[in-house]
Amino acid sequence: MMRLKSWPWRLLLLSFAGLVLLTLLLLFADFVGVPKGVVNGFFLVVSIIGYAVIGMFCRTAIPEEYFVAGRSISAPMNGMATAADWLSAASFIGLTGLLLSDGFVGDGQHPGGLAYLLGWTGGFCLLGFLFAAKLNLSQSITIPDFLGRRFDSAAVRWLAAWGAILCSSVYLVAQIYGIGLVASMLSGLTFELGVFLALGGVLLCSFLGGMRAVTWTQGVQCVVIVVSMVVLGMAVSFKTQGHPFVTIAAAQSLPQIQERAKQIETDPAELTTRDVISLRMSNLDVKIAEPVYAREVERQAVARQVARAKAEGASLREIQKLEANPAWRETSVDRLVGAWQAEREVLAEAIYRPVGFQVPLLNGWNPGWFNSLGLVFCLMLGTAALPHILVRSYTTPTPAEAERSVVWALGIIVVVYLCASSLAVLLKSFVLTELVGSHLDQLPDWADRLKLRKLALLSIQDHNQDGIVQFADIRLFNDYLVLGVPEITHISSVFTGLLAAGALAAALSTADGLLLTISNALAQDLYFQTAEPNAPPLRRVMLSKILLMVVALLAAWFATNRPVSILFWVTCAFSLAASTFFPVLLLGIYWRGMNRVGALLAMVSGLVVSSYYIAVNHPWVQMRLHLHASDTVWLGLDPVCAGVFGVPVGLLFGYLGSKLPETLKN
Amino acid sequence: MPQPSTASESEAPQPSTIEVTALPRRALLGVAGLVALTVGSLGLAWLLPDMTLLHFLWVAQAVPVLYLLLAWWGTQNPHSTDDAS
Repeated sequence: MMRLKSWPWRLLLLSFAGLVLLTLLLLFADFVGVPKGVVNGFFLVVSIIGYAVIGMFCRTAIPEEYFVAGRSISAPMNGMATAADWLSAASFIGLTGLLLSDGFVGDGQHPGGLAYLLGWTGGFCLLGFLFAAKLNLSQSITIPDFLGRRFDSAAVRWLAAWGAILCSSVYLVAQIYGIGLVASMLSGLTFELGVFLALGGVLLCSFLGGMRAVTWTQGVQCVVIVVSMVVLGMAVSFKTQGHPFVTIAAAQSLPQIQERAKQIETDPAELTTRDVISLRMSNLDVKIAEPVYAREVERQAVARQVARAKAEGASLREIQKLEANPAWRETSVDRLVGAWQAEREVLAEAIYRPVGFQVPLLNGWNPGWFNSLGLVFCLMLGTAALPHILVRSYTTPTPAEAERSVVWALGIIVVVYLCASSLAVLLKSFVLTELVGSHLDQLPDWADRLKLRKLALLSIQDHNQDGIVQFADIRLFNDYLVLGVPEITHISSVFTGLLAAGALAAALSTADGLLLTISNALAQDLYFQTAEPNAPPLRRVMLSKILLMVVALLAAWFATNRPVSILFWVTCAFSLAASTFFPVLLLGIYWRGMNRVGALLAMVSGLVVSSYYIAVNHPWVQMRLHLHASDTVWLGLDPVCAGVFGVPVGLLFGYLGSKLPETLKN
Repeated sequence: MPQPSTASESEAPQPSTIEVTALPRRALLGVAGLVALTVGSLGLAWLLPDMTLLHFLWVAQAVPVLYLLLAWWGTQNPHSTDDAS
């Protein structure tokens, strides 16, 4: 029987009722004309205060409560906390935009949205089948602690701690960036202030109560996430098809979307736009090949245009627009080439992404298929090996409860993803029917609003200069496009606040879990393991809290430098986690012959191979080292699929290291 | 609501049990099922690239639910690991 203690469920029911009441109140406020900023800001403030209050009530200084929530969390509650821990800013905010933009099966080169959907859900099966019960049985407090005990080696624990810190840090910066985006959008504050405001909420939770506070906060955040996504899906479904069943509404809309996509694909204006973009890409290729010469030519051209504009009395804005040309602005050739490469990527995306949900005439096996399979592999194994997800297996009282909590978590995640994929279909119908084909000076009202808001979700460039929007002219900002759903679908702006509250809950809950993982690895597995192995429990908790605050501030500082793509870095974190931890956990748990040399070699080799592959294929590194993608890409796989190489190498070295003769090991 | 707790209420963490066992049959079958379902579904989507409705209904909607059923089946082990603890 599953244990259902009464007060946690009262807390969750209370949060659900509170959220519904708050939404109804704000719907009424919106109806009577209260400004949208006030309505949205209210969601932000109430959310953060609510999470902070739970954190304060759950404060603790008991080590087992602080590190593993007393190992007393029931399967459903732990499942909710795991789901909230898992549903990050990237997957909650980004999945709908990703499916909308990249389609289901990709463009023949890169993986489509289905690879993310399957990888992110299937990984929980692996976690449940392979690791959850075994980890719970060990009664450890961190993953490095588990590995250190299994192999009776301080070196294994030390290395695993650094692996956990690396994987979690990459993930954490992306989450804090997401928090900053949502908080600034809701509050109207600058991005940097938004980051630090929301960070206060994170810290109040995890700093005071550790895993105990984070668990209960994540339970409430899970309610907010699920309610916001399901309610939004139902509202959009009702608006488009007249009923609240979002999957059925999406299936009803698909045939019309496909018909419209076929019309657009054969439209002469669309084909002209694509030709213009291809020509522009060829020009950029020439410039990138000869950047110094190209810069001089372009500077002279810009100088002439600026002089002519000034002579003709052009406005300051027009002159500034001319001077925004990177060849005029950038003094460094490297940065100029970077700007041209970024522009080329945007143009390539505009012509290669599918109009509907698949690229036409995409038959046979191509690099896109291998990338899809590779990505599914990395995401599944990464999900089963992410330290901040694995550590939740320690918080249930029994191994069977740990396994059951994985099923609860997967159930909740599946509900959110089913709504997200259906929303992608419904949004596509708005883009194809209302935006494509409209005149630039008579755009739909939502398009104007999405373009002009501080956090732009849409940009349009009329490449063929015909004054009409073609599909290739549109650029949607996938990472956070879902935040514009209420405007696109013309439902009440209260849903913007509700959705942003869900997005904020997703980012905050993941950030909480990651912060705890990093600070515990630093304090428990690195400092106390080596410098003060006999430190009293209270001292351990206090140092963990201090490190948690330091890590949070550092991550916020990194996030304010605005990493390029949330999704890219999150996906890289999966590959790193899969390569570093999956081989050592699998062999360590199920193979008696695995020893500490094998464990060390498995972790080092997997981490090195996947880190190398991600780094060497990063545009910045390629530019610095004058490398070309064709020389550094293996088997045509994207850098986010680095785990495809890291995991087999880790397994191989783990096996070989364990089989080394004793004399050689010594 | 949970009450704040202090250090005096508890002692150090419990001693650990790290058993190395062979991969259980149910886990092995579950992993095989996961691979077959994933590769089969993606393969179906690639073999029929124009069947967008099938991609949506089967791969994007039904397969995650089947994963959930598979994970649930994985927990229905007659020899529960509770006994081991």
